[in-house]
Order: sequence, then C-alpha cells, then structure tokens
Amino acid sequence: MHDLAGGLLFSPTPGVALIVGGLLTLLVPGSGKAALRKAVMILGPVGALVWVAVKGPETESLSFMFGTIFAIIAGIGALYNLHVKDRFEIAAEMAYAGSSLGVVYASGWLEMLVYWELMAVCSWLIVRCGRTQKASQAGFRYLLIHMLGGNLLLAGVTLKLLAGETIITCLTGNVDGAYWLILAGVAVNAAIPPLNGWIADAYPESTMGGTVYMGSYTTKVGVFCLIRLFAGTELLLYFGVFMAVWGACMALIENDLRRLFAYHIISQVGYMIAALAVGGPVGVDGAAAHAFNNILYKGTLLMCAGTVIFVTGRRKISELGGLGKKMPLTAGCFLIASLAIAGFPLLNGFNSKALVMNAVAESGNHWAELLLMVASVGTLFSVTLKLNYFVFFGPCEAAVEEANRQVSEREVPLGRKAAMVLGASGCVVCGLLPQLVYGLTPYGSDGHPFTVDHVTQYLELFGGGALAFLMYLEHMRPKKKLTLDTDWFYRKPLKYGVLGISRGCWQLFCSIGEGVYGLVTSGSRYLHHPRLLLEEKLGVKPRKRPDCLEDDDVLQKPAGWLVAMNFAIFLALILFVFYNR
Amino acid sequence: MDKRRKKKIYAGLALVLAALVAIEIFFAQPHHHMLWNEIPGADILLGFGGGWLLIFLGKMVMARLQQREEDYYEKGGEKDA
Repeated sequence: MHDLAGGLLFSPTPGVALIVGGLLTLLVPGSGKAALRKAVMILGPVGALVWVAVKGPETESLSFMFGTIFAIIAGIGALYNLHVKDRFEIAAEMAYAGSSLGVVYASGWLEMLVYWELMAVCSWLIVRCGRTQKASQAGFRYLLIHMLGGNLLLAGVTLKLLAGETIITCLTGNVDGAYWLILAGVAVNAAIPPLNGWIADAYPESTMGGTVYMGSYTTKVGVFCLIRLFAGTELLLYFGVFMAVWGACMALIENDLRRLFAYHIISQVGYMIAALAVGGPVGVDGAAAHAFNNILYKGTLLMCAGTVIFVTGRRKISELGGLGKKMPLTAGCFLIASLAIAGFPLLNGFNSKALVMNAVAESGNHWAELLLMVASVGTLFSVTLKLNYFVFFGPCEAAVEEANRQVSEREVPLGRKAAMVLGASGCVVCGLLPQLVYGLTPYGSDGHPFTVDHVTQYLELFGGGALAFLMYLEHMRPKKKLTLDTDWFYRKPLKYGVLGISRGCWQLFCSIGEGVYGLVTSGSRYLHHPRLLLEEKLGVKPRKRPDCLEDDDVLQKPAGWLVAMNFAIFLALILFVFYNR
Repeated sequence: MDKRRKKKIYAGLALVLAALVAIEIFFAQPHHHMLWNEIPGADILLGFGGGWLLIFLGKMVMARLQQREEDYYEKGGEKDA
C-alpha cells in the first residue's frame, strides 16, 4: 500500500509471519488439536527467521541485526511455551513479537506507529494473561502508561507527516517539537527514568512465558528506535549511566525474582543508551551488539526464573534456596547466563560490553566509563552472586528445605528445558565466537575482547567486587519488603486523578446523545470483553472466568475505552493527514 | 556460610588476584591511558570500592527510603489504580 507522497505506507515485513501465526492459533480449536497449535507456534518464528534472512541484503544492517535476534528469541520463546494451552496467550505473544519486528522493519513513520500501538495492546493482553486480579490491575496501569507513550509518539509523527516527512530519518541535531515528542514516546518503551515504573510493575504479573517475551521486545524496540533516531544525542548519556547504576542498586535490594530482572533490564538498557548516546560507529555497534547479546542472556535468565517459579510455586528470593541439586539443568543454564550478564570472559556479554566501554572511553567521558564499570560490579552482586548463592548453591533455612522436598526438575516440560539449553548455548557460542555478533553490527566494529589487559581488567574488577560481597554476605539476603518505584506516583497520590481521567473518558462517551449512545453501546459489549467477539463470531466455547476476575469490571471498562479512544484518535489522524495533502 | 569456608574463599581469591596482577604487569598493554588502566591492580580497588559504594547506596540508603511492607498497596482495603 502506498501513501499519496509515494513512500511506502505499509510493506510486508517478517513480522507478518508471526502475526498471521498468532491469528491462526486463535482459530485452532482447543483440546485435541494441540499438535496443530504447536506446529503453528514453531512455524511462525521459523517463517519470520527465513523471511529476515531472505530479505537480508535489501534491508538496513541495523534492522537485519535486530530482526535476526527478534526472530530467534520468538522461536526460543515458542519452544519454552510449547506446552501452554491458553490460545489467547500464545496469540498475543506471537502478535507481540510480530509487531516488534514490524517496528524494526518499518520504513515510514505511520507504519512504525501502527506496529508500535499493536505492540502496546498485545503486551497488555500478555500481562492480563497472568489471570489474577493483580495482573489485571498491573495490565491496566501498563496500558495507561503505554498509551501515553503511544500518544506522544503519535503527536510527534503527526508533526512529521504534516511537514511532509513520511519516511523515517535520524532526528539527531534536528531539535524541534516533533523531536521531543518522539523522544518522550520512545523513552517510555526504553524505560528511561522517570518513565520506568511500568516495567517492574507489570512484568512479574504476567505468565512465565509472557515475561520472557516482554523482557526481550519492548525495551529493545525502544533501544532500536533510539539508535535509529537519536544516536549521538549526548543528553542520553546521563540517563544511560544513571539507569545502569540505579537499576543495579534496585536489583540488589529486590526480593521478587522477576522484579529483580525487571530492574536488570533497566540497568542493561542503560549500557545500550550510554553507548548510542556517545554515537559514532563504535557507539552504535556497541549498543546494537549489547542489545543482541542481552536478549540471549536475559531471555535465558527469565526462562530459568520462570522454571523455578513453575516448579516451586514461589517467587520471593527469601522463600527460595538450595535448588542447585534439585534443578541441576536450570541451575547450570542460569549460572552461564548470570556470568554472561555480568560480562565474564568467553561469554557473550563480555564481548558487547567491550564495544560499549571502548565507545564511552574514546568519547572522553571517563566519569561515565568509571560508573559503568561500577554498575558491572552491581550486576555481579545482584545476579551472579546473590541469585546463584541464595537461590541455587548456598545453604537454605529449614522451612525452605522442607518445602523443597517435593521439588523435582522432572516435571519441567521438555520444551522448557530445550529452550533454556538453547539460550545458554547461544551465550557460550556468541561468547567464544565474537565475530558472529560483531559481523552483524552496522559498522562491523571489533571490540578486541580477548586482549590480556581487557581480560585481566574484568577479572580483577569482579575479584575486588566479590571480596566486598563476601564481607557483607550475612546482610545480602533480601528482606521481605516491597520496593517503591516511580509507579508509586500514579498508584498513590495521583491514583484518583488517573482513575478519574479514565472513568471520565468513559462517562464522556456514554453521554454523547441518545442515538450515538445507542450505537456505541451496541459495540461496547465487545470493547469491554474483546474475547466475546471471538466467542460469538467464531463460535469458540466460552470458558468460566476465574473467580478472582469477577469483580474487575471497574478496570475492564476504562481499559477497553482507552483502546477504543486511541483507535479513534488514530483513525482521525489518518483522515486528517490525508485530507490536508 | 561458616568462617572456615569463608577463609578458604578469601585465600583463593587473594591468590587469583595476585596472579592476575602479575599477568597484568608482565603481559598487558593497555589500549587506554587513564590512571586505572596504567596502574596494575587498580581494577581490584575499583571493584572493591565500587562494590561498597553500591552496598551503601542500595542497602543503606535506597532500602531505607524506598522499602515498605509487602501489602503496602493493598493496605486499607482500597484498590490502587
């Protein structure tokens, strides 16, 4: 489809394979057709990967790099979720991965925006698939903040379209209204503080597989857009360094396993933002390579954490311990990925961190270089040492040991085990063969990771850090506490304002005349409960809703209306842009 | 962790770090020339000092300011936003 200016409005992208796959899984009836559903789950990512490879020569190298890892992690995620029977969760996850690929391959602003909004809606559905009241509420807040981000992006894109710019171009140095609006919209997805509260709020409430998908896409799509649009923006260096250190500190005190990883996502994204902020070929390549490797090791860590929660039914570190002997495969994969995230030599994180640190050092920002090295110690503390010791290999309390009696890795589905092993193997292979990732970067930079000074530098850094950890070990066990984040603002002091706005929108719609009201209410049934559309139109059997969701209509209505409002604004924008041409 | 085991780990770490410093002195050719790149073993101090800085920030400052009871948002029977 082409717009009036002749630029591509929508072009077929590898993401289509996943989106179509997601829709197909919805059509496959429930029990009895599991093999067909599994085939679609695997063929979708494989199709996307083949599409990425075939399309390779004609696309930007940055898109090719992100497209490759997005398709790979979609495949690993599908394997991890192969036993899942919830078609809505699978469909949302596949469509989410597909729309992320859509953003990466978008050539026009409008195309990017459409996939961006689709990503937000799909990821909201993934959070809701947690099917608890907490998941429903966290999903609502997630949707709110992402609709805010989406609307900021929408406003920026509108300005671009009105200026006659339909094709995406780098915005660095071109500071105008659109620049700030687009930067703020992208900053929401990249979880740049203070727009980061949603990440630790929503990710832990999703399903185990859902968290793996969410940890791999939303923030990395944000990083991709920052590289593409804002590489070389020095202001971002301050945010990047702050995120790296602050995220590590938050992870250090966090007790919830998946919340801890949410903070680590922020910390790791901080490295990427710092690298792209200093810009230049090495900075861009460092950010891209670190995003690529991060998806592999963070995906593996989230899969292992999900498996621990799946087997034990516990998600607090204070309630876990001594699982190394009970779950050797999970512990082994976790150990590899946790060493990779800290940046241990011969694992993939080490190689991409080399590029990031080279870029920052060569830019002359030595304060940033020092703080990023300190943040590396924070990663070592909070993942490599803290989690391996308190969850897998250290001693545990008698009550935890008693609870562990029933724990066995045998009940972990084969797909999950295979996915964890694949992820950990990816960390090792990309670690031993750095050119695999360096070769994919836009400028082909080489970090020369295996020089004596670089290897000894990191080993010494970690040795010194390990000494400090050991000295403070008795106090390192996290406390049974909740750590407040920036979501506190809209959950406490601004709570009534947020609910008031969303309910006000609903009231406004309901009060627009008798005739319009009649039309709207005839469709509102599906807006409040989108699943009804599938149940009634496609004849899918309605399922009994869990009791915990019986009273959450108070959240469903505003959430449904938020989606409807965004859709209406989006349609109005398209009409407006076309009318003004 | 019992004291004996801890002592063994300290000793092992000290040996490894001493070996790393020796390797750095004899074989490393730093690509960058800041103080911490030039002085052998400076990264050990950076790791140790940085580690304590993070412990101070995380455990002593942020934990006190930001940590609440686990049911903080559910308290009072009211749903949060």
